[in-house]
Amino acid sequence: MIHVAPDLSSRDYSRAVELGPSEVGAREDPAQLHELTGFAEVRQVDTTDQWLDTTSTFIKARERHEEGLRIAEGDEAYEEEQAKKRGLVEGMTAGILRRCLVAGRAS
Amino acid sequence: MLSDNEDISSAERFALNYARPQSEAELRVEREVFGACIGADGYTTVEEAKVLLDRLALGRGERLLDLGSGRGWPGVHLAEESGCDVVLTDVPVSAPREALLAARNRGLTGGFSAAAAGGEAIPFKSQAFDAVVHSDVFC
Repeated sequence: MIHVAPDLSSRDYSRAVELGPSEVGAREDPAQLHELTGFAEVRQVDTTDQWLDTTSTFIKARERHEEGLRIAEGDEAYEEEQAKKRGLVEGMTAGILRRCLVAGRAS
Repeated sequence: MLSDNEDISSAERFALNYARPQSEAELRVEREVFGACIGADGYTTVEEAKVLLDRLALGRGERLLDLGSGRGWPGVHLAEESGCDVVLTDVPVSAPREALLAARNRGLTGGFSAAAAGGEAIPFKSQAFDAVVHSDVFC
């Protein structure tokens, strides 16, 4: 689950929301959100480092296959997707965007 | 393919992208990022799917709901590895439908089904599933 890092200043929070996926903006951490919806024994493992690796690899792979992707996706969509992924990397590197694995049991 | 001057929302683009088969370039990117063509739409790696498989500990006869499944990763994989049944949901439904076709083309005969549903209004009764996964739904 992609989420905004906890305890950010207003400025950093706004930047995280701007750089992150459009629907990501909750201030509660993912474990709290899952507990609020009724899950018990919620465990949260941070996977931001892996996410950074995967996203960086994505950007480079998409650059290598730019020509074919532009044909498939269209120029605008290709550029938007690359910009979105670069924004995610910027957010992760700045410590304001995170991703985690959350596991819980229905209570 | 979309022309540059078409003014469409990201949601519409999402739907249009799902409605077409993945291009050779997209499949190559997927192979380079994930090591295989797995139907990934987000960032969940094969290693992370293994962690999910271990944590969920599903078995034959159990039912898994994959919310926002996209093209079926990792729901189909979890069902294939564990023997459980899986219901894939997404809006639009074209992506999970494609995942079902891909699973059948690979000879998978387990309990795979798909439904058009978003996370806000899930069309299933309470206690219908043994486990739920949602993987990079917002990405």
